[in-house]
Amino acid sequence: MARYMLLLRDRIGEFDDVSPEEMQKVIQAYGAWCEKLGAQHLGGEKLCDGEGRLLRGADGKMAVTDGPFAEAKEVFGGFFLVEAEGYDAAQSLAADCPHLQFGSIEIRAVEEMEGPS
Amino acid sequence: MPQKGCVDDLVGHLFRQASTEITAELTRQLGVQHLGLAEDVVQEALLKALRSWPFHGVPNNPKGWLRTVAKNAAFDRIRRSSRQMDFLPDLDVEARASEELLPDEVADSVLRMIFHCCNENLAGPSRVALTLGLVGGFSTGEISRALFAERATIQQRLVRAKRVLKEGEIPFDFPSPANLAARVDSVLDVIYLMFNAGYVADQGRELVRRDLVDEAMRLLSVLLENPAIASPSGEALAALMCFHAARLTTRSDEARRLQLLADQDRGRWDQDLIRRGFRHLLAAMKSPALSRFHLEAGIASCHAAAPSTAATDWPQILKFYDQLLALTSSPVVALNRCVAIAMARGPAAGFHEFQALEGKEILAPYLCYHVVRAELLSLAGNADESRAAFRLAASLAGSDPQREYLRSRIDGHSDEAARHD
Repeated sequence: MARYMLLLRDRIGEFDDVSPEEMQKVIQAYGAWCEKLGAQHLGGEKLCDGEGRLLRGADGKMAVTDGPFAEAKEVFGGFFLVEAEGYDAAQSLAADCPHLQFGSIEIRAVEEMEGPS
Repeated sequence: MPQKGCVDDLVGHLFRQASTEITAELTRQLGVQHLGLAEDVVQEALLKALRSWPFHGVPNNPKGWLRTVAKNAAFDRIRRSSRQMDFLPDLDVEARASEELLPDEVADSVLRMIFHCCNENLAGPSRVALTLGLVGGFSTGEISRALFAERATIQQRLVRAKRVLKEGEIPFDFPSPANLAARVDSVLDVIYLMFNAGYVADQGRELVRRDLVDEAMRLLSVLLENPAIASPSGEALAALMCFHAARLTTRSDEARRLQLLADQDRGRWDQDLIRRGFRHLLAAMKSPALSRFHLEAGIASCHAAAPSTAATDWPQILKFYDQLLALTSSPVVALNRCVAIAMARGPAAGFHEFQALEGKEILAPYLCYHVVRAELLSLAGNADESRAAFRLAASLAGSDPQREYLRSRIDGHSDEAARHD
């Protein structure tokens, strides 16, 4: 078993004109998704909307850009950590995730420390 | 807070209900000039829940959470705009809106919102759209799908309706006692239209738009819970809706094909709803007033009580139709009455009545006209003309299930017993 991080990116403007009923259904779908994952669901965090800062190092200097990053079509909104046998298994877990209605999911394996600690 | 990352089941239409209640509460507390702001912050709070709860879990008191987040957002906006406009924030408003309303005050606010949306200054279609939006919590897209209108049309209708209410400085309050009865009638009409739009659903693939039906029934029960507003015609409308709703699941079979009254499995009718219907009908008959809803509920009750089409009390149904026609002078009622005549007095009498129907030409563009004509011809044993009439009707059918049913009538079995739904 390995750990995989699901990086959730939100499409901007994707939430316009979503009705209360539809929102509730999405939250319920999340509930069902979590339940299905059970112990394979290791955690997750939601990032605050709106603000952010981007630091870049160049020529020994640091450039700082204040977010939100308006030029981006998708904003990094949060992540889940899940446990799976491999990429295919992780993908089938993520495929049911309700987030896909509102943006994309990038799956990355977490590298575990190898060798003697 | 439940286990992180997992979300408990949310009960019923919690979001829809919360959206209605909090919008109404805030509008009442902040003042009706802030109706738009109330709508915005409620949407904001719901979105925040949508984005946060999947990570943090559903709070113990979801509605309380939404209310607090919406109120804080409202205060923020009011403070910000007063800063920009360089005037002192209206602390009174904040103090008022910080108070928790009692449950009956919440219900009261929702009622005010219903009355607000059904104001006489608005055109009928605007009332329906606005009620679905502000009270039903439907999105613009959902309203346009429910009413089969273009999204842009609905959007325009909503904007215009809100402007009329704002410019008319319509207070967010109960109508004066002198106007109450008329406004209640307007609300009942809106609920009736909403229910019919859901029940008839003559366009699209689905035969029944359950959402509209449920919402109409929910709104009416909110009205009837208030003794000052409950009226005999409201009870009659409730009876009518219960009788129809009792047959909802049998109106289409498993393949979503239209099942007309004669073919429906009456054993599957919802007996609880039928009993509720009769209770409402009894309450409706406590006063001598006789509304259109009383008569329509009466007709529906005859069907609900009958074990089969043949054993239906058609003479009684015809009596109700006679009264309904006298009351409404509606050409559609006159048309349906012909079927009742055919069933009560024989096919020839029904067809004769139809032939003699004056002004029936205005119904010629409508499906119901051709279905009734085809049905009467079929009852009268005129198979060829009946088939042709069904063919014409099929070409006018709006929904797939309707079209399929009418086609099946062209292909044969036109000698079957009358179907009338």
